[in-house]
Amino acid sequence: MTTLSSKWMARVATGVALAVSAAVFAGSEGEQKKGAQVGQPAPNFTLVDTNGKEHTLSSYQGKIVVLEWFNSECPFVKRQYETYTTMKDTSSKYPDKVVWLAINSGAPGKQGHGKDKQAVESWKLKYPVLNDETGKVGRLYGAKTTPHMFVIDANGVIQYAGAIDDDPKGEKSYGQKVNYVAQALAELAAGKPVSTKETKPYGCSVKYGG
Amino acid sequence: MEEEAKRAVKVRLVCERAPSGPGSSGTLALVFEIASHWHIYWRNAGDTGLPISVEFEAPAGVKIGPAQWPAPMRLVSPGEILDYVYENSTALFFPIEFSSHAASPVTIRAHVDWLVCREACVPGSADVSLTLPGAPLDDSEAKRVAQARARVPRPANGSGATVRAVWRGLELNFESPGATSLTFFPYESDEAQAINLLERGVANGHRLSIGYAESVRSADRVRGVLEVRREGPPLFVLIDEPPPGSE
Repeated sequence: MTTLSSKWMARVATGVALAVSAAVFAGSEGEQKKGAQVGQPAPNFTLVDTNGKEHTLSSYQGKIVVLEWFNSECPFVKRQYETYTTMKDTSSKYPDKVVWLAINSGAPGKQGHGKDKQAVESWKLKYPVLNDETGKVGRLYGAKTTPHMFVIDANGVIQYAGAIDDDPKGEKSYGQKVNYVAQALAELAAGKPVSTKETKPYGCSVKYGG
Repeated sequence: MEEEAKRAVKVRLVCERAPSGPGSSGTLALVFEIASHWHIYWRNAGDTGLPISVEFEAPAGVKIGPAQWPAPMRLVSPGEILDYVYENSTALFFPIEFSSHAASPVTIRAHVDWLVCREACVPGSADVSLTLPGAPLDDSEAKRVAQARARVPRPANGSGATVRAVWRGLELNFESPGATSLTFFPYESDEAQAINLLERGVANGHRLSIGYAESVRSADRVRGVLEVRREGPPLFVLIDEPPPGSE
């Protein structure tokens, strides 16, 4: 066997290291670092909606994707659908550019579980609600509250994570609130950097299984 | 469930210490009775939930100060969710001052909002009032008030515990000789964000180290409550430190 020079070995080692990290970021579910970080690629996943249709995040590459952690029985979520029309308004502003996915990570037996189809019908949702009852995707993203919002740009990188707006108590009028997701979408649609990348989310706890 | 939630919290406004007349001061107590298995939230609710909020209406010449909050307990839920809550009962204390012109009798009104959760969460509110000094507390209510009062944090030198707090980089290191365990509850703050309190917020022994995000350097103060367990009842020490790197 020929002896390789140390410089060549170093280049091979670097190449191998880069190949490994590329494989990790290519999005195989099990190998991803836990917790979705702003500025990092969004962890890939495949979940089924209330019609039995599968949705894989990476298949939406090229669109901006918004993830909304959802529980139709949580008062903070209900407020955004019944007192205000925040989610529906924000999701429909850029119909060709934005894909909106609601995700329910509540476990069987917990609040809001099994209620998604009913919510889609009664709230007339135009976007899917995905079943994450094992909590796998919620834990992958570190989703803590409903709602908990993530905005992923067309390259698959997380550009915003946190609250839907700056009004946890629901006391501000529609015009007074800052809707962080709408703001991020407007900035991304205009090719500008997102100005508020992270806020503390508020809401009910995601009802993970014990 | 909604019905059960409506009965889950009872609130009453009472006098802990009545002002004795014009130019004097005292303390009000807003007493919460919480049905078993339900909880309400501290001033810093933690990862989820919403703190209790109170708005007072007082007549001219009567001033009501900010709330004194008893220390909460940690509630850990699946998904690595950490909240700071009250169970069973608690009370928020409010200093009240009568100016020399305060007329008599004095009626104080309060609007109280909370989020009460068991497995599910339900918002709740109540309007309460008290015409001072109010009826004397019955035994069970007096006990609730006393238990809550014992959990209101005090500065280290008034608490009976020796507590040192020293910054090393972005870590605030607590030491309390003789303690068997230490638990830290940070106050709500945009800048002073403690990291990973789920794992690092409590330790056995007499030392506890709390890491903060870089933004803590722009905080005015870094505040919270240190629960010091040792022989006898626990002590609750008010922590109020300058941010790191300001010496």
